[in-house]
Amino acid sequence: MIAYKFLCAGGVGPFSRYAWPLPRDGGAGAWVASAADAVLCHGAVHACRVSDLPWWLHDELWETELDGTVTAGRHKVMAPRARLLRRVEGWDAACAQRFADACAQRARDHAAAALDRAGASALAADLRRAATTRELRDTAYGAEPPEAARVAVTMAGDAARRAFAGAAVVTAYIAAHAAARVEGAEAMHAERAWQSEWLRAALSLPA
Amino acid sequence: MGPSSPTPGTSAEPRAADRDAALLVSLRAGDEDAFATLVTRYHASLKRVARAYVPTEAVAEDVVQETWLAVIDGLARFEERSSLKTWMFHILANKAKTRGARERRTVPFASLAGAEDQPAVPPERFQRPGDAWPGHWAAPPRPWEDPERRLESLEAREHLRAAIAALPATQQAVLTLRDVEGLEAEEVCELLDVSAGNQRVLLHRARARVRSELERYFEETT
Amino acid sequence: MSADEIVCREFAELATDYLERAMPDETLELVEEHLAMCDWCRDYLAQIETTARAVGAEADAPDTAPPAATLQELLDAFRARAGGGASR
Repeated sequence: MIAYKFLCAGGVGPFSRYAWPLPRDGGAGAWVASAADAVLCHGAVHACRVSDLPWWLHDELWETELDGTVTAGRHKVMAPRARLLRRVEGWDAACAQRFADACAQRARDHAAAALDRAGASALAADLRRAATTRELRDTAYGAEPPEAARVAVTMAGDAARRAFAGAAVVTAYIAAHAAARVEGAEAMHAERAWQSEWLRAALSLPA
Repeated sequence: MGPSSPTPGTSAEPRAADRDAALLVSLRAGDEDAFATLVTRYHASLKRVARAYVPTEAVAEDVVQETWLAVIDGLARFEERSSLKTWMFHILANKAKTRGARERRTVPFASLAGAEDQPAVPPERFQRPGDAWPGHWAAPPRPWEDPERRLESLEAREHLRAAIAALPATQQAVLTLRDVEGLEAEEVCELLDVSAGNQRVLLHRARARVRSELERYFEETT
Repeated sequence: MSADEIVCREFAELATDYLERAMPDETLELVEEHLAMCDWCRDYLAQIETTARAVGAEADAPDTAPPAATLQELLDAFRARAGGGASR
């Protein structure tokens, strides 16, 4: 099965600190078996499906082949063996920044919807008019929204602030929670699906 | 970041074990300098652990003195089934428990773990219900710049020592055995007669309090 | 603790459990999801590790020797035992 792994710069596992054998000379990286090399929960190698990507963003994205019985965790898959196939070159700091900005705009959209519902259309328009994440941050933080929309507007400001700093994972997290806040708990799942699809399209990954 | 073992015992332990093994050879040959080295090295840790069992510093000092005398007495017969360090702490624990019972300290060690119910980080550091992110950091820790270098200064070490000394006795004992002396969790549970869970709670509380003192020190001296 | 995620206040209690890997897989999964998102908790974790290492350096701290009189009494006893040879 083909899946994906995020690694720190240099091909190192973010939690295990394990240095993954990298593909060389056009061939795949060596197989890694979980028992021998990497101590992780469930005693297995972890990887992401496309739907899992937003939770685990990191420096490098690698297309990964899994071997053996694959089981699903909450937002990951696990297998006894895996190897790196190729680096997904489209994932870089610039892509992460674009993704963060997109998530901040989503958080803004949810906050604006909350403001509209709370009868604060002028403020909603202000938020929608913000052209940059910095403007969005300042507008959201400087606003005095009605109580019904207060948390959503704070979330939008937080998303903008974190996107401005390039923090993609947390911005995605904020947007997911902003969706739930404004549209209800089920909306979080839809927001994450939107995020996964954004990444899939941006990186030309198969569905 | 990750579940690597942070305690110096893990990486330093082979060196410490080698040093103690060499010391043992000298001790058995009657080398007084070696004995002075041993005492200087372990006295403070022994006292911190003793203090978890007995009501006063003076009694703890007594217990440690008795322990050293027992070590002197037992050296010839010590079979090295455990490390020198573990053996000494076992002697200490036995003497401290006996003395603690005699001093009518009625609260057994294990039950103290539950009594310290302060969370590791004060609640005001986190957002409250009604805030945008309940339970998330409100006043997050700021990254420490070059902490190892800054912790080398005499002043920093004094702050660290004061932070350890200010801990409840049971937390000091666990912190000493795990992080100063590098003993394994199972060994410490056995020595102190506490469950694995309680031992971890005590260790974490101790580390968390010392961390917060270091945080204050770093912020005041930036 | 909600089954859906772990928040910072919860992780602050679990940091040592995490370092020791002393938690059920289900909890570990939630912790890793949180750490992937939360730089503040990653900093907290690093500081707990730094603290433990700093405490470890006390093992070789110079000024933790016992009072001179105490040490002298012990040295006398050591000398007597080593010199005497015979057990009591």
